[in-house]
Amino acid sequence: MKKIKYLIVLTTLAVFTFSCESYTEGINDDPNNFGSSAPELIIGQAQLGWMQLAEGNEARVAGIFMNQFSGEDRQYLTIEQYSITASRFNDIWEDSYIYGISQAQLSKKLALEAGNTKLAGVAQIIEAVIYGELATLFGDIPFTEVNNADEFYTPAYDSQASVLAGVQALLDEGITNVEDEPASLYAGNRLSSAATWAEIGNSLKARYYLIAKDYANALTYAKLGISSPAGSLVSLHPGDAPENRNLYYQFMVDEREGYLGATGSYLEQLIDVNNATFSRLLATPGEAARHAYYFDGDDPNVTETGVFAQTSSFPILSFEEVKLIEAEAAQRTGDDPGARTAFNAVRTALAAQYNAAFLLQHLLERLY
Amino acid sequence: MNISYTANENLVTDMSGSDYYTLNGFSSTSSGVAEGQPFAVLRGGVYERDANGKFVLNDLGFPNAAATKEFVGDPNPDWRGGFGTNITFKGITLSAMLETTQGNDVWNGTRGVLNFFGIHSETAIETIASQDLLNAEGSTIPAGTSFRGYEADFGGGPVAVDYGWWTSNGGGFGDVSEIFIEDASWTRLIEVSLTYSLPKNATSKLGIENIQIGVTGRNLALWTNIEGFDPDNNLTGASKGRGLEYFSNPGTKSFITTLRISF
Repeated sequence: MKKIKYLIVLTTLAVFTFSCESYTEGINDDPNNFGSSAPELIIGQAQLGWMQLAEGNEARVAGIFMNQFSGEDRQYLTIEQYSITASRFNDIWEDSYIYGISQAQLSKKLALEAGNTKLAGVAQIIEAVIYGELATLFGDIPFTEVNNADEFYTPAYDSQASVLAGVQALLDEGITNVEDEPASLYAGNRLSSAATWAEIGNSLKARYYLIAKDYANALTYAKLGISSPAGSLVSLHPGDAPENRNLYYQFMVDEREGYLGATGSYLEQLIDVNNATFSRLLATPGEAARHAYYFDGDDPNVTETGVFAQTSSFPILSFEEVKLIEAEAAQRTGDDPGARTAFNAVRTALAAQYNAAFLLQHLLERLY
Repeated sequence: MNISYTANENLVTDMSGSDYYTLNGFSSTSSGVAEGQPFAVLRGGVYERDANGKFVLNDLGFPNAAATKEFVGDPNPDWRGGFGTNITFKGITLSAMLETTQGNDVWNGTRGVLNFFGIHSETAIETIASQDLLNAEGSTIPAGTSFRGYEADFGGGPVAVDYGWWTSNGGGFGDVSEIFIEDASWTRLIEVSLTYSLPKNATSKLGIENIQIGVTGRNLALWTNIEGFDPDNNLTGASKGRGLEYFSNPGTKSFITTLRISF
């Protein structure tokens, strides 16, 4: 009987001791004192920062300035007249520095702490491209003093050339770190490409060397870049959720219908075979299909088969761009045959896309 | 009779290094705080001007928008005043209350948008061009032809202010809001009431202590240069930011009659 009493007392004690422990565990962690997310998750935000740059407000404004789009209503009428104020670009800087670069840097830091150099490499490539785009768009931008508010409350602006040199260095580190990993690594459901991260890094190096007028390097790295149409890095817009939709579709259909058009744009002048205003010296097969892909009447095509459909993927770094960089860099460094080969690779890709198999032959027959 | 007068001078002195912080408003025009400016100062786009204060014109003879926004108005009144009176004569009481606010600015966003769409009275004007005129889109209006708009000279000779200007930097969706800052001073007759108390000897026979009948009118009159809205309204409600107007509803006017019987 005594033994049983002991047992009961001991069991009860044990139960209380252990249950109390598990009950109070973690109770003193302050839920308002945020820790950090995993770098594998944070990288997604940095990638959205890049997508936003390539597909959002800045792309629309730049498109209007270059007459690839037209501003047709409200605030966009003023942009159409090249009237511009500094505050119009506030959100670009906010998206790029706060939601892009700082997240890429945080992701890189946490990944390196965890010994994940491949993720750090992806983060470096994303960080580099956002800096590269800002330097290209705005010239001098803050670079060396960014994200260090304690030391540099108002970061200094570094020269465009020094930022582009820094971007190349970041890309070099990134390319080394990602080794031979495919671009599907850490792309989530946001990005897609059949290329490797290194090829993407090299393509970006080619882009910024071309912008810096370093044609020899542009040529070298373009050849190491994306090498097939399937390698184009595209943003994905699957499903029906409004926030997942193609950003052009969101702007032109969901949010600001009628603001952004393409009436009289250079692309329309170039590929609209039925437009009698512009004389066409050369009838090009496949142009009707290409026009139908880009335009719905005079408007940018937001229908299901169009370039700006709700679920259309959007190229943020394309095979065509890399090949055209290669062609230009080759031509400028005196390699005309090399330039022609790269240029024809784009034609072949276009012929395949617009089902105009005889495009290349047709052109060559006419030209030579 | 009572009279009140208040004046409140305020100045933001420290922003901890920040240039400007928006309290309420739009990206084009907002009410916010900035060092050396009164609280809730209005900030918006302005035209570019040279050292002599003259407009910097584009090739067409119209002013350009300046690259950066400026402080364009102060929604705080220079002073406020009130006047109340209460006169009783032989059971008839007349009371009235008047209030005034002077020197406060408002951003009239409604006018800007109505200009953009060409449905503000300002745009309902036809002019015959005195000479060949350019509009803000670069189209030429030949001398002697009629156009919807008017001639103006921004410093580079006469030009045609028409839809081209109203849909760009002369309208509400353009980059400039300084033209829509207006003096929103107002004076209002807040309330007038007239009551009559029946004589005691007449009511006491009925066992009633007092019978009072009255009529009151509220918000009876408003004197202001503002057109189309009540300048005492604030678009963003009971907020820190003030002085913004964008299609807000006017205040109501009301009449109240009273019959009060006390036993």
